[in-house]
Amino acid sequence: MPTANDRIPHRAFAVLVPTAMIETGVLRGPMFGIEVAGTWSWLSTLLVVSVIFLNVYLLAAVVRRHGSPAYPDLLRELFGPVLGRVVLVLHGLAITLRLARVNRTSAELITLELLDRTPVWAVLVPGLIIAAALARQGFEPVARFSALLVPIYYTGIMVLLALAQLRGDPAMLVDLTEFSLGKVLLAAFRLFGEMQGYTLLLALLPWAWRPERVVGPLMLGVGLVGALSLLLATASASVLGTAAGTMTWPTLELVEAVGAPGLLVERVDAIFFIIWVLSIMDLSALTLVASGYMLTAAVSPDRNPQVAVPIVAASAAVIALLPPGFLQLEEAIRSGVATVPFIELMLPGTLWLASLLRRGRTT
Amino acid sequence: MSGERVRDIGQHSRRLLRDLNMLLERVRYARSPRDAGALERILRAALADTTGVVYRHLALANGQDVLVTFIDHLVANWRIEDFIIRPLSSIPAGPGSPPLTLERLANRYIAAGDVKTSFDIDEILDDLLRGDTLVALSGSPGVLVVSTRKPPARPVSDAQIEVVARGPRDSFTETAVWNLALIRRRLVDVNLRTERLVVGARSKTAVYLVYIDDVVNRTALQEMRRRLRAVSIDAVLDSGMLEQLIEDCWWTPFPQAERTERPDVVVAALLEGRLALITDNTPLAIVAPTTFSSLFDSPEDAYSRPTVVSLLRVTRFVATGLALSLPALYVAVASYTPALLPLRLAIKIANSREGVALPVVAEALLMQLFLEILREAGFRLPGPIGQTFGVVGGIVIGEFSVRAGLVSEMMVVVIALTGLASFTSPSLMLGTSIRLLGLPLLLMASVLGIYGFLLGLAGLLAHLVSLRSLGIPYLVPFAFYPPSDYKDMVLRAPIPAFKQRPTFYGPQQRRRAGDRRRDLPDTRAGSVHRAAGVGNRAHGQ
Repeated sequence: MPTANDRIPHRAFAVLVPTAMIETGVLRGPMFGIEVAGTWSWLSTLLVVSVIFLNVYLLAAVVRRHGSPAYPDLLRELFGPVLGRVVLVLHGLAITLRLARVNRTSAELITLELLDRTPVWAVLVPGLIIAAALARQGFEPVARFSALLVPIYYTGIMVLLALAQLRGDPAMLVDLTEFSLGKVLLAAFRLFGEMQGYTLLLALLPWAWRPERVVGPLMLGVGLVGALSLLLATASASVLGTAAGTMTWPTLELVEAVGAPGLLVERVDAIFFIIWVLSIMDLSALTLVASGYMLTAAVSPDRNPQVAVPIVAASAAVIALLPPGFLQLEEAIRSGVATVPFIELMLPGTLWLASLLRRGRTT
Repeated sequence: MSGERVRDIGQHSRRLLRDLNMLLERVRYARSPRDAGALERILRAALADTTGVVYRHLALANGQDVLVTFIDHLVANWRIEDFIIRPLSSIPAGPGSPPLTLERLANRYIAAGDVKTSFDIDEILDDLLRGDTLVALSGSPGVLVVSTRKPPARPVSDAQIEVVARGPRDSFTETAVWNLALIRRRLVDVNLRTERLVVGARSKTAVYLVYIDDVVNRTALQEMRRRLRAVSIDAVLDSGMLEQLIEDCWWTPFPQAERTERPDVVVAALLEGRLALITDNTPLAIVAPTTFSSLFDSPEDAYSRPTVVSLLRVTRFVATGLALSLPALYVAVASYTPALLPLRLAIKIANSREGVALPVVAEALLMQLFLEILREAGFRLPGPIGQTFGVVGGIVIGEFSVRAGLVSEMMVVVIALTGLASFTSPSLMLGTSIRLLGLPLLLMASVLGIYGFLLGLAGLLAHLVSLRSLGIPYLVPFAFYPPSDYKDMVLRAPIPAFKQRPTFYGPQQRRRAGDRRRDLPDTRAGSVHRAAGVGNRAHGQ
């Protein structure tokens, strides 16, 4: 269990939510929304954020109802020792799969943008090593890393996006001739895949100074992510128009559009991208330490993630760099990766239902 | 067996016999500590071949013998004359007067202020070697230890390293008790504690643990005591050695304790709930726990205007960032991704590199090497010569390196700026560490461009977030702490706003004593009039 110095103040959870959720979706999320729902993609984003709010509320309710226990204990309490352990392992593996996917995608993007002719592994492996080195220090240093980075990153990008709104045409966002409820819902369905990761914070609960107080900061964190996503959706649609649906990295295009030649902010997209790379390292560290904790807790009573972190990092690297010739395995993993967001979407509701049933049984 | 070997064995045997003899004498003295002759034999054996030891025998008027022992270059001779010899010579001898005891001697005749009776030979020897004088009286058990110390000492002088334009100028010296006096002078508080500990098996260096009892972080205090007691070393010659013996992480380049030569800095730290170590023979005190942001505080900051101080601090932070990252960023951008730069700047860099024979990274390494050589040479040469050499060397090397096509003009600017920026940090250690940490970043940037630079930066941050000083996270209060803790970080609030101590140091009392401004009459023009009006009405009623 954590010592006094390993504890995380409950306020820190507000910055851990964006850290856990930020990934390639920040750069390409608007593309999925606009591709399907056109300029109404902001409504899809709003729907997704609302569902995430509900999910976080359900998680908080379950955790509070059971006296803020550690996540492995909560699962054991809800599902019994065997099934609880299975859920814990599956959750840990799902997070590892996500880690592999995020690292693969970001490594490809980095090679594309910054390091032409460099193999993907040369980017991915050192990044994972650094993330593992950070994760091995424990939850508190990882949380502190986030707390250093997120305010800079979030404040910067939100100011940029607010500035970008000035260049757009807000009337486009409410053009009723473009509206289709089916498309909005479909776009929301696709966007779920780009806005995930918040359930890994369940692993961090034992490290909170006062776990019963993390609900507010968690909600605030989701609010921040929601505000950013909404700003991103509206700015992309109003500035880039429906053409954003065909762009690979619409956010970079958007930020580039804000840059003013001849001024200090001429290459603001470069600065944005650089901080994004650091954020991905932070996300990797957070994911590593959380999955390390879950997997260790499933097999060992001491729950010290230090040993598991390098193993999880190595596994993620192997999955991300699966060599050609392992087509069946690659396909299976790809299917697994595709289902992770939807499993995560269902997890809070499932826990809540299980909690209700368990309470009925015990009373 | 060779003759040399026989000689060795002979010497060894003689040494063994001598040690055995001394042990026997000690046992004999321990059984009967009244024998001044035995004491003299022990002292002579222990201090054989030691120059300056004086054994002075006096015969009192009542027939008792007194042995006075001291080391002449460590004592104030006038004190021995006035406090010991003269009073002893003036003891009257009445007919049938009873023999004197050490206690009576100390109470009635020895005129010194600091006198104690000791029976432990090791303690007696230590005191003698520190400059005290021993007085042994035949027939009376024990030894009087009279304080007559006068070790060679440098007087209190102006600060040499932490020079300020505004603020006190006195600084610590090598004499620990004087340093304690400088602190006590600024902090007239009964709760100020100065615990004395001795470290170093041979040097027996006195270390004073200084703190304010009702303010200090108790956990940090206990931890510091534990670490000091665990120190096992022959000699502690400087506080820098002690710092390395008690720090949390030995391999990090970041200082985990502050060193200061200024008593006002120590007092300010004590008032925050931190603690200080004053080491004898060292003009620098250690302050712990320390944080990364506190290393950017200059002693002058508290005495100047908050707006000016805030701007200067921002400059220091930016300069530190430049010292760390500028060469690496330049190499990354110039070698891999010039497209990241504004177009005109990228063209300028490309033009300046025209005709340069070396790759960018080699240029940077070469110039860094020049800079370090110049810096080292400047430090080693005496004062003004070193400065002149640094300036002239820098100009000549910079100019001719460019002319020879070894480096570009832009690189000279980058490295010169890096060197200058590293000296803006008030902590010299931090500045040097930051500049040297730029080298691994430079190498990573040369391999993986801007991504390599980011990897290095992330690694560095990962190290910093896990670093601690006496258990306190090194990067506080950059994250997780209440807004009141940010009043003295990058920006500095006005002094009246400092109503609470920083929480991250874990002080026992959160609130600083007495917000006196509330008790004082408000002297602003309107307020005075209002106050006067109210008073008049009250008087009129």
